[in-house]
Amino acid sequence: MRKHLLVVMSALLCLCARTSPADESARAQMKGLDEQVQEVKTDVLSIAAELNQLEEKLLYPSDTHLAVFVSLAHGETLRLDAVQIQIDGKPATHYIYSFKELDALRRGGVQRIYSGNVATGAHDIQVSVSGKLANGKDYNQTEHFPFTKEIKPKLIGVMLAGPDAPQPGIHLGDW
Amino acid sequence: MRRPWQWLSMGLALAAVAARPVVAADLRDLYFGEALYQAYQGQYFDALQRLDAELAQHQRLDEPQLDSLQYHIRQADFSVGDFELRYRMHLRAGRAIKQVLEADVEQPVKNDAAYRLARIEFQNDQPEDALHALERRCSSACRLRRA
Repeated sequence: MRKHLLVVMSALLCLCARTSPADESARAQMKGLDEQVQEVKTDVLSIAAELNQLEEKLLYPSDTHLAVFVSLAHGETLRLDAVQIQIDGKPATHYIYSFKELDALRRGGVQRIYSGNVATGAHDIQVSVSGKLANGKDYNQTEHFPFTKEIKPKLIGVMLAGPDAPQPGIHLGDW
Repeated sequence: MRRPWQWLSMGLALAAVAARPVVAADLRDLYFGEALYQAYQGQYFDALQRLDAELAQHQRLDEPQLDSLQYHIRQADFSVGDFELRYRMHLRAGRAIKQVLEADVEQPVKNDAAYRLARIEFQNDQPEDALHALERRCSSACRLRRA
């Protein structure tokens, strides 16, 4: 009886293990579908990139384009809560960070916090930062920086560091 | 026939590559940094869109060596493949990485490309091909150690 059972079970296992032509056909269909999905993704990606470039070109012409980027200093432990930017005394943007965004900044990512238009000439940017230090204390800092907008697009990089960093405070970089 | 420890070591190697961040130690191109920022948040579509546009713009320049992206160009090429892979575009990612493997580039760059190709093959449920790609990475020093 036990021997009979073993034979039946072995036969069933063999049947399960064997790939039938129907299985192979289904697998080939899935592969084909996957390739089609990837082609669609490629098309969508290129359309989105073109639209994005067109939008930027129309909204921010190169002679007035100003973009402000924010990054954290390497190894920075400051828990950044919010950044506020004012250009020529007018509020440009106020951004509150989520945990994911803060993590991306800590890993070396750079956030484009503001894109806008300014006339060529001398301007002033004010950067206000609020957050918490590693010891739990509140951290607030505000800095003013003058900058000059030329005929080409202006990219401003703001690097933030807490008071314990080798170069503490808010630093402005020009690109 | 591969032994279980070989599959395990291959899986660990691939996991190590997957976990390695694409941090730019000294970032010189802000838009590349922006693409990384989006990728680190898992927004691979946006990251790809940004990096594709940056690379296309870089390639159209008369003197690309003067562009700020030139400093990160290899990392950017790899990152595109990496983001495509994470956005489940294995075909495009595989093609890009194979091009690097066949190009006349330094051995460390080829090693990195081979690792990434192995990852694609592994995710595509092709462990034999993944192992082959990893073996390709082995330099002469690796072979000497085996001997």
